[in-house]
Amino acid sequence: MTIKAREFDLIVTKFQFKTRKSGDQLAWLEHEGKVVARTRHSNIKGRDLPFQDAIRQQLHLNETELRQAASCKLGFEEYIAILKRKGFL
Amino acid sequence: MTVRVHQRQSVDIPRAQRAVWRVLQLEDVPRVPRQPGGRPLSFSSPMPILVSSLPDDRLRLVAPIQAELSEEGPFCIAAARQFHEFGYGPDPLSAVDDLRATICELFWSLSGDEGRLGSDLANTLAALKEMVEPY
Repeated sequence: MTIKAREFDLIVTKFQFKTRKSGDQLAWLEHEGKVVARTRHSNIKGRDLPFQDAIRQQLHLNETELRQAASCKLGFEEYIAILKRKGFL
Repeated sequence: MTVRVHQRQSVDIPRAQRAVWRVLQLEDVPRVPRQPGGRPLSFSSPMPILVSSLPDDRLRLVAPIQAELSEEGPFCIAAARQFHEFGYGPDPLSAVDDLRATICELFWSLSGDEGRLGSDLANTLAALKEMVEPY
């Protein structure tokens, strides 16, 4: 699957990542005081983001989960449950 | 500085990018054909490289970082898979430069949060510290 910058923004917003501009957009998830995931993306409007496998790994999601996240079928609570199940929390 | 990339081809390298090219030369860049009207370099499969310098005077590399150069659509990608990080750009040099900057940012970012990293990011920082250290 491919995601565009706008979809990525939607995902990190929905998953309550904190963000900071540093050339690219940096995003990281804090949960119970711990930083458990970080990622970044370019500001390429309208285009598919490059190297999405790495972005997916940084979010600790598989392809199906990322697709569900991009299509709003995966919410914050489900995401936290996935991170717990995979041992990241 | 002119770098020979093919028996009959060479490219001029801007001064600011020569450090990257020294690394690539050490790895003996394979002879890659020039695409007519396209980018000067292209890769049919990921090309392993070693990154041996960082664009941050406060950091030095203890050991070179393994990375791969590849193409994806209009982008060249330089990926350091051990850190799940990558750089990208319109050409290989830009991609490697972006990766080098990303590694520096990653180091400072994770170091700043060292006491409160999750296990995965703590492992990433530990791997990073084996290769990068502050002066």
